[in-house]
Amino acid sequence: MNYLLIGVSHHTAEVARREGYALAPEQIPAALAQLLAWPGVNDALILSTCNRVELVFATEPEDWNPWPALAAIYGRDLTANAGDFYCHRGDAAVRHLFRVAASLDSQVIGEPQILGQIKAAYADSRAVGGMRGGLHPLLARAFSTAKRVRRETGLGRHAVSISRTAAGLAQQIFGDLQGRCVLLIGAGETGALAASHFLRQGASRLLVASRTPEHAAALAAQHHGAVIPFGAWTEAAAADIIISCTGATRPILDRAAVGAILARRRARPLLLLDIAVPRDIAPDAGQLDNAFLYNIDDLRAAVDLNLAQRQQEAVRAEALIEQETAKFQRAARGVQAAPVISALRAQCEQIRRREMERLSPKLARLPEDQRAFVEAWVDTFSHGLMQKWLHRPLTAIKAAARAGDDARLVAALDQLFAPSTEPAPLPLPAEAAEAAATAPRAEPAADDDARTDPSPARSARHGAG
Amino acid sequence: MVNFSLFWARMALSLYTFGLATAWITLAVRRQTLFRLARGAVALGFCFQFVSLVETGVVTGHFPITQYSEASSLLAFLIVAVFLAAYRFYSPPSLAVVVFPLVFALTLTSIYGSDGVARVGVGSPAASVRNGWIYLHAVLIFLGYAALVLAFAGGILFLLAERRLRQRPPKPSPSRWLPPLETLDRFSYRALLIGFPLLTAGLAIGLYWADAMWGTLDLSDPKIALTLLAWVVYLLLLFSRWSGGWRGRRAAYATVLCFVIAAAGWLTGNASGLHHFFPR
Repeated sequence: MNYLLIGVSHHTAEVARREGYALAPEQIPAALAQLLAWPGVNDALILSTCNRVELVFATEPEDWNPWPALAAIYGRDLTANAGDFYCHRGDAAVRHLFRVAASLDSQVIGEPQILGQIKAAYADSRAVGGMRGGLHPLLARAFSTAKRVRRETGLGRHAVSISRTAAGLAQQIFGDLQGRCVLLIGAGETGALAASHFLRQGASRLLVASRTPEHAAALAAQHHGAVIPFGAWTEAAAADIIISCTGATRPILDRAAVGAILARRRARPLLLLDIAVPRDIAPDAGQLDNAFLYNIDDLRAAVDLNLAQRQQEAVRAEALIEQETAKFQRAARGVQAAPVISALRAQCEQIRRREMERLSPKLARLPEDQRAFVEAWVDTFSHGLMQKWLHRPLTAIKAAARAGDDARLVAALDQLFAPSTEPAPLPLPAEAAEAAATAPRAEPAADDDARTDPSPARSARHGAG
Repeated sequence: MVNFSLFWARMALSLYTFGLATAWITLAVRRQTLFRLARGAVALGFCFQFVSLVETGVVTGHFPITQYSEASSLLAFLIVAVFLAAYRFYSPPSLAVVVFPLVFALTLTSIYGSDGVARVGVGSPAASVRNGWIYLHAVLIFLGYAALVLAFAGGILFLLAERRLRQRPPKPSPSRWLPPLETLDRFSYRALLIGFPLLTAGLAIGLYWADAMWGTLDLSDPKIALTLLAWVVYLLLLFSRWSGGWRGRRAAYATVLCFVIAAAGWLTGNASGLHHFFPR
């Protein structure tokens, strides 16, 4: 199977150029149908997101030229813009798709949306009759690779936004956010965003305090929360998380106020997020037991640290991608070896049948009942003999094909045809190629363990028996 | 009758060793499935230890608590019992990392300590030991200790988790092995709540019994003094928690202190005149 991937992404083209190639969701089915009908295209997939447009093909001629097809779906010739595009074939296409699915090629490395977008693209293609001509195994492997990367590396684990960082800290203190109460001081947009993030994460109640009660009331109403009077901090004791983001120039909560809140809370832990500049919460309040205070710089530093960690995890993820690419190719080659193997089996079976036929006039001299018995016996015997002789070379061919090791393949054929010191007659490759061309094309399997086993020998045997 | 108890104890020790190693590896490689193996090994070791204790009891004809080695084995056994029971409700593998080494050390002392199980049955214990009350006294205190061990493990993890949260820049991704702060605090507190009545009852029986036997209590006996001190700290710890002030870090430190005092009391067991039941 020949894979070709052509695309534009934030790496190769700026948004102004990229948007010229974006395909709207409603355009995609028609474009896919057009591509699937294109000569040389067995299968196609279109992925169009705000950061990338990728077209993946399974093609019949190895050197299939994608530009005419692209011109057809975009309604204009794109060869002049070839500099915006990257074009990968074979291994490189496989690797690229795996990297994209694993979010290694994303603008924010490790962001989780891309996998869902590829799954949607897969569904689109399937809906118009795609995913039957060879891309299915590739996509299936891309999905499992992405999952493996997510599972085995910390690529998606490290939060890279302020709100996710804050949520991560809350999780370390409280575990589940279910049933937690969030107090937002200051009804500005930034604070509201952070608070709504906590609510989405499962926090169940929002309190708002603002110098302008109308703002507080509006925001509270929006999130089914309640308003507490600005300055009445003892009422803040209900809150497990306090987010402060006001324009005040002097601290709103000093150490004593935080201490009083903690006392009212019977010293249950309290998470204080001070995202205002200048700061709203006195820094020494963070020294109190069970008060965990983070200011905007702390949170930013954590984000930076995590970005660096993601880079490290990305290195590990790249190694996984290499492994998976190699594994996928091995599996694909295993599928390619199947016709050669069936041709070999067919050839041997033919010789065996010919010998059986030569034997039958000699057997004609025997009485009827003995002849049937001898015939059946010779048939079973010769079949078993053939199977045993073929077993090792066939295993070797399969192994060599999976490893993509041509030298070992030759050795395997030598093993079959040159057991003596004479130079090996090598009728096989040509014949095998011929046979492979006439043999029904093997259906590629989704996973590498499933290999086609047409077993002509077995069916022939049943016919003879 | 051949005494196999040492053999069973060694089997238990091997399984505990395996469980301990696996629990540590679990933390290093972060695979939860591995921990099931560790827990399984420890649970099996627990069964072997039970057999060993029963056999010791049958062979010597008294409850296996009269010697330091027997007591170590019994305490290890009860700690594992409490750990496995707690595990049904709350189960971070990281607790095991603190608890298993203690179990291992106790079992090891019970086999290879100065008066190892090998010497079981030498002589006959004082008649005073053949009394149901003293067995109850010891078992209750041991159960209290076992709960204290769990509280201590929770406290240690709490201090680590708290330290992690106070780092700058903070680490926002939850640690794979440190449970949330509040969970740990609650766990320790529950363990303390369960342990306290057991320890109190055990001590009360001991005091009453000592009074009945000798009519006086030797407070200069280190084991008695330290255990009582641990109990006082324990009481203060719980009381201050009820009154609202001590929670979190201070409670964790107090739990660790309480454990250290109790452990010191345990280790001075050999020096305690009152807790020796064999002529030296």
